[in-house]
Amino acid sequence: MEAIASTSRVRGWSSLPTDVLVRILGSLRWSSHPNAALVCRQWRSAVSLSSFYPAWITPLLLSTADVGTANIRYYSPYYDKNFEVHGPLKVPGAKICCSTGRHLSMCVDQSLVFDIDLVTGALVEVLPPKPHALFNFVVSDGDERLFGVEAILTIKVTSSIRNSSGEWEDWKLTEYHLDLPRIRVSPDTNPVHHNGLLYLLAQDGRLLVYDPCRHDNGFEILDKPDGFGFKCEDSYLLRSSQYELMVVLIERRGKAVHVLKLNEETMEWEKVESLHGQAVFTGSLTTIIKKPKFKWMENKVFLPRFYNWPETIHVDLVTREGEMAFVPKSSSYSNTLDASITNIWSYELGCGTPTMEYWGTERPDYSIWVDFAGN
Amino acid sequence: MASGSGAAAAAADAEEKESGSRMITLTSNEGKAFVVTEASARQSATIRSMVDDGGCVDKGFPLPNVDSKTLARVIQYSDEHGNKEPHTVDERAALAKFDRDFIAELDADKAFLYDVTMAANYLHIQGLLALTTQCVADTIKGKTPEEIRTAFGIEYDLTAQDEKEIKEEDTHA
Repeated sequence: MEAIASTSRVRGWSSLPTDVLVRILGSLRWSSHPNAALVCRQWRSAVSLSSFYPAWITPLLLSTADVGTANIRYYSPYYDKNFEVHGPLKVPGAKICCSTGRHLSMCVDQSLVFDIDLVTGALVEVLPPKPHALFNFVVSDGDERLFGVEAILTIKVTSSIRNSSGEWEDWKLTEYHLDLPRIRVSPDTNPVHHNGLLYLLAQDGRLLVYDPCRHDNGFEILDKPDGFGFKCEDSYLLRSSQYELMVVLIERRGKAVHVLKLNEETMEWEKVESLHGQAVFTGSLTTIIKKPKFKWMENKVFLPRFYNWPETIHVDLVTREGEMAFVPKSSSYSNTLDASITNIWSYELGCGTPTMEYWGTERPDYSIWVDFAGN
Repeated sequence: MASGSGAAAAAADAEEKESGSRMITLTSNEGKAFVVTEASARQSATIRSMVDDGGCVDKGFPLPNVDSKTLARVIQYSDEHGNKEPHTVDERAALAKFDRDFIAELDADKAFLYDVTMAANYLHIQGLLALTTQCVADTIKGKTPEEIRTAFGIEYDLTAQDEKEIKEEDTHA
C-alpha cells in the first residue's frame, strides 16, 4: 500500500497546477523554458501560458516617435514586430548617441550626457554641461571612458574618464582642433574604437584618427585611404569581429550595398564579397555586426526601413539571470510566426539577385540598433 | 503550535486577552485537529479571508485537501513566520536559517515537497509557496528534460510530434 501511495504522489509532479508551474518558470532563465516544456504535457502547457519573446536572439532596433514623450519600441527582425515598452526616454529632445548592451547614451543641448539603463529605466547624468562644444557624436569605450566629438566646421574631441569611485571626471577638451572645413564627416555613423584608437569616417572615404594617449593632438587625417572607390549616398563605419575596420556603403535608394574592409598593410579599402555568414545591422549611429542565429539573416545588411509598419505588441522588458525578454501585457495576441514575411529592408551580399530598392519604405524617426545578447 | 495541553491553552487564553489573538482549529483530511494561533493561521490567505468574513472560527476549518503529515509541516512553517515578527538582524538571520533547513529537508523528499507545495498553493501561503517553487526551480536548473523527469519521477507522455513542435518553437538555442 505504502509503495503505491508514494508512487501516486510522485506522479503528482506531472499534474502540478499550471499556476504553480508558471510560478516555477518565473524563477528560471528564459532560455531554459523549452527544456521544461519537453518534460511532459502538463509542463508544456504551462510553458505555453507564460509566453515571452527572447530579446537577446538578434539585435533590435530601438525607436521612439518623439524622444521624451513617446514610448520606446524595439523592433525585432526575427519576429517582425515592434515591442512597445511603457515609459519614454526621460530626456525630452535628447539626441540618441550610442548603445552599449542595455545602456543608451543620450546628449542634450551642449554637452550634457545621460546614460539610461534600458531595463531599469535608471537615468544617470554622466557629465555636467560645458559650453563651447556641440557634440555630433558621443561614444563610450566599454565602461571607462566617454568621448564627445564635435565635427561641424572644426573637429574637436573631448574625453572623460570614470574615476575609481565611479564618477565621471570633467570633460577634457583637446587643445588642438582640426580646422579643415573641406573634410565632411559622415554624419550618421559613430566613431569606432580600433586598436586603442578612435576612428572617424569622412564622407569621401578618408579616415580621421585620434589617440587618447596623445589627447592634445586631437583628430588627425590619415593620408590613406584616400577614397572608397564607390559612389554612395550613405556610409557607415564598423569594426568586425575579426578586428578589422569596415564600411558599409549604401547607394542611392539602396540600389546596391557595398562592404569594404581596410587593408591595414596598404591602407586601402578593399571590397568584401561575403560577410562569411555574418549579418550587419546598420543605418543608425551604432552599427552591429554579428553571426546571426538564423540562417536567413546570414550575409545580409539590415537598414531601419520598413515596407509596412510592423505590428506593435505592448510588453514589459523583463530580465532573469541576465537574459532579457519581452513579456506581453495581454495574452490576446497571435503568436504565429511567418518567417517568409518580413517588413524590414535588407540587402543580401553576393547573392547576385537584385534587391528591391527601398523607395517608398518608412524610416522610424529616432532609432538605433541595440544588442541585448550576453548582458 | 499548541497541542491543547492545559498550560498551553492557559497561555493562549492570556495571549488572546492581551492581543485579541484567538486559537483556531484546522482539521486534516484524516480528521486530525490542529490548534494554532490566529497569527499562525493568518499566514494562509485562504483562512485569513474566512476568518475576516466572520466564518466558522469556533467550529474550526476542515481542510479536505491536506493530510495530517503535510498539515503538521505547513503549520511548522506558519508558526515560525506567524507567531514571531523578526525585528533584529539576528532574528531575521534565524528565520532565514529556519527557511533554509526547512526547505533542505523537503528537497530530500520530492514526494513530500509536492504535498507541501500543493498545500501552500491551496492555502495561499505565499512565503511557503515561494520557498517550495524556488526549490523546484533550483532542481530544474541546468538539467536536461530527461534528468528533470528522473528528479521528479515524471512519466514521459509527449508524442514525437509534440517534441518536434517544441524544438521548432525554440528560438533561443
